[in-house]
Amino acid sequence: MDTTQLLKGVLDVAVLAVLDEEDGYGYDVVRRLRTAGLEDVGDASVYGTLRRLYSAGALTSYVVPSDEGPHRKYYGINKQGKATLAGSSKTWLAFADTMSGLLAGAEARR
Amino acid sequence: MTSGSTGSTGSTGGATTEARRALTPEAQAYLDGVAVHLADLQVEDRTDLLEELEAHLAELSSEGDAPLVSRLGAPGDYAAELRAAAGLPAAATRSGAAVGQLLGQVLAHVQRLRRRPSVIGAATTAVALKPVWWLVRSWVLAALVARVLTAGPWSSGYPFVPVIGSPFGGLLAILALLALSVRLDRRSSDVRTTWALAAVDVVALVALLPALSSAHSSNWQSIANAVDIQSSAAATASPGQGAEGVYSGGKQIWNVYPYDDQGRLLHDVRLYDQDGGPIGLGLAYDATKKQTLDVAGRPVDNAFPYRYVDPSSGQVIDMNAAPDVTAPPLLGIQPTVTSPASPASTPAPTPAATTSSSPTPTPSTTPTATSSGKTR
Repeated sequence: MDTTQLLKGVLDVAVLAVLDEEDGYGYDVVRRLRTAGLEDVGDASVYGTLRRLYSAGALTSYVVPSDEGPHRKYYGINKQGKATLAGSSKTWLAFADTMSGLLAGAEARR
Repeated sequence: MTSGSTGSTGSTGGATTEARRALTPEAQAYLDGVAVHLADLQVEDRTDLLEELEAHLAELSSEGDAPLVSRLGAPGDYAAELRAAAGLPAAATRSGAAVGQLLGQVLAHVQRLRRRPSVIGAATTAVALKPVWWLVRSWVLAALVARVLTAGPWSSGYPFVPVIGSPFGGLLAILALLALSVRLDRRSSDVRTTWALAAVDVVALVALLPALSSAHSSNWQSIANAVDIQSSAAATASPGQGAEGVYSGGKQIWNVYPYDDQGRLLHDVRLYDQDGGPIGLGLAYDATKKQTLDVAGRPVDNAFPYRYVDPSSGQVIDMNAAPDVTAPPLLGIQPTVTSPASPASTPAPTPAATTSSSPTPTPSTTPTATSSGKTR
């Protein structure tokens, strides 16, 4: 199964989860998602998601000067974002439980 | 939607313009490519997305040499993914205009082409050639300015240099435009600048051929003039050209000594060409040369021979000075034609029945004879 299709539905919550650990700029978030195992995540998808979450009011942002290049735009999760993360996490975990049970049954019958 | 995000602002504006390192040409081209696909977005969305992408590209290119296209996909695909993830409308659907859709199709086609390795190679070459285009563009624009300001925009001394005030002014304008190109290129993430530059490029491209042809023909013409003057024996310099002078057999002519049919030196003979234009020798002003004037006081350049004066006294040194030539009398044909009819002929009764082969000084009836002897 193509994980990019799955990613589309969960990228929001994945990005929120990463930023919940620590603030980060776009490329930093991309790397942390990949390190966590979401290797197929696209750079543009992450930047787009950050933009959308920020516009929706779930993230804060601030600019940090960089010595060797353009300034970096850092994102952090705010109260609304945390609430969204909490709700989405609950939904996802319940969904994952359901799917796990379903698939475990199918696996057992094989 | 805009609720919450307490203290979320941060200084995203202006701060990014300082301390910005120039992108590699490849990264800049990629950024430009994405910018084209975001052109229809709101300024704020577009600017924010492109600024982040610029930082991203800078970091990526400092990481390794892998082509950006293989890492991020084609700029068009990147832009589409970015828009989708950001919840922004897909390209060209907002305008809905036929032109916009057509543009989108063209861009998509270009995008498909861009994925081919050969095209990617060509694009890299094109990026490397960008400074060359800047130079050409600056030159064409300077030529346009010169064209507007003056009728003959090309320097005759320095080929292909437009004259703005002077050839130096033209060079200065080219350098200034070149500097502007470099400066604008650094900040071309601003989409409005990108489009304005594209418009300027179109103008420069359209004007390129006429400018080249104009400069070339002007250049060629001055060379052709020089060659023409030197090769043609009796050529006169065309007016307005720098190099003047009359040449015969490869030698420049400094003076002309006319003799009549009897071999007598004539004075103040005025020469005209087939169009009635005075034939001068195109020589520069010379203080040692006697200035000949007509009755209206206008200087006359076509009265020969030129006479030379003693600079201290202003007097002609020798009225009859001439090179050592022997001009034997000609086989005259005039008497047989003119003497029966011409009232101006001398009363000499001798009918010139034979074509006078004798060296005897039969009086000539030609007008040149009457003009001889009148010296000034």
